[in-house]
Amino acid sequence: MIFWKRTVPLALAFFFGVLMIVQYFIPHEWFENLLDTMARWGQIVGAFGLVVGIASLTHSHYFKIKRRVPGWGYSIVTLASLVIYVVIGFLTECDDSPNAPFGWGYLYILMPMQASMFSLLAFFVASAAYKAFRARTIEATVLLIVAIVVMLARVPIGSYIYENIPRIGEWIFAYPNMAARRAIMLGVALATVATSLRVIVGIERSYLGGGD
Amino acid sequence: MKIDRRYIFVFIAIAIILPTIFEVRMKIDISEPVKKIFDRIESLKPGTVVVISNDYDPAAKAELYPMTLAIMRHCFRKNLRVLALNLWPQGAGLVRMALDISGKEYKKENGVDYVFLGYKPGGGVVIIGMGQNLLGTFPKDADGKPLAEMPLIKETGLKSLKDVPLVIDIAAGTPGIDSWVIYGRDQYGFDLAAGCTGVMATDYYPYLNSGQLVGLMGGLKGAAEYETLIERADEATRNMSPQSFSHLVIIAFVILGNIALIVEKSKKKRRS
Repeated sequence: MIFWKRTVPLALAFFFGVLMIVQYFIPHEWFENLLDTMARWGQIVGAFGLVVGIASLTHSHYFKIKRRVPGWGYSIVTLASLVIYVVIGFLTECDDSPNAPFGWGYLYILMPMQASMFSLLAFFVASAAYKAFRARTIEATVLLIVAIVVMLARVPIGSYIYENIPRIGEWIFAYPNMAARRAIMLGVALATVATSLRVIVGIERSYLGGGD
Repeated sequence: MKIDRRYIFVFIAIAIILPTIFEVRMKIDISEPVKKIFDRIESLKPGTVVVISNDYDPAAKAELYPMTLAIMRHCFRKNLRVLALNLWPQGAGLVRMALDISGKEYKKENGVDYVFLGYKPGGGVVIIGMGQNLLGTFPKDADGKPLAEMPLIKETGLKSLKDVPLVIDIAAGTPGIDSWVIYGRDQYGFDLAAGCTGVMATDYYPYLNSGQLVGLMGGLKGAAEYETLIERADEATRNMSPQSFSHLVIIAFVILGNIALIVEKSKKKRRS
């Protein structure tokens, strides 16, 4: 069992990991075709990811309903919506014109609901900004001033208050912000390389599951 | 000083509703990253294919849909051909809507002037697939018509992303701009321009500085700037004034909170 559960996956990870690194540096037709094939395999795996996601959602909400956990009524709505929309999609061949049921549901149910949820952020951001943005220390004061400048720079009224506000905002984005972001990105990139190498050589095995 | 947050909500609501009703118009300054996208599109010859990847869902519609529409309008006005797709499943309806609107305005024909590829799962893998073999990755468009038979493909001889000079990614998360930079632009050499939500814009300035992005539209302001550039004021331009006033309200409350903090501190000092 260990051979199938551990040795084979580790060997596959090593083989394909090394292969994909090598192909990146050799622009030969054979490697181009290999990458093409790998990309198609990746898409198939991605499609199965959707199936796994739907199965996981169904499983999770089914047990919430079965155990009558608080809010189980919402789980019924979730599962009913999932089933109804999938059935409508199959029956109408996912016709998303506004007059077809599939398109109508998207346009008049999903779109306003998602947009409304996101719009609520405006209210909570305002409330959170009032509570959190306090100039208690020098660092907090700098953060506060920069936040106000950027907020004004991101709207046209900023240039009515002071004409150079958009330019100052752009400078903050292009220099201090960029320097900090680049440092973070370099750190993340190096960590990604290190983790990838650990997976390829078999040191990092958490993807095998079971805490092995 | 504690203020019931419902008062803050009421002020924010007023700051959004009143300018929306009275349609307060404001002058919009153009930033350099947005102008660069406009200039890059202007530099393309008529008939060139531009790929527009729309990687968002209706939650980000307010900020990103105006960008999609403005970019498509600009492309069609310049007689460029558009290949649109989604890497997010729930954005397909929005892209179709934008293509229908802009296509009708400029009398463009589906299959000839534009093609909608629809959604395909896989994120970065889809980008690599398009870079290697477009027709292998998308044998059919979103309506199920074979891509190889479409005039847009036949006349341009488009085979992969290597034949495309410009990709514009409008994204609200992952897969999105990072995926297009890593798996697309850096491997296949096309120019990449991007649009993203306001909160994400700061993340992409390193790409802008390194030249991996030719331009960047950040949030509703970016969309409004683009509408200004193509001289076609629409949703983003209209929504700039509610956003302006809501920002002012937030700033006013922040200042109020800090004044209260200073007063409290000075009272404590006097007592001690």
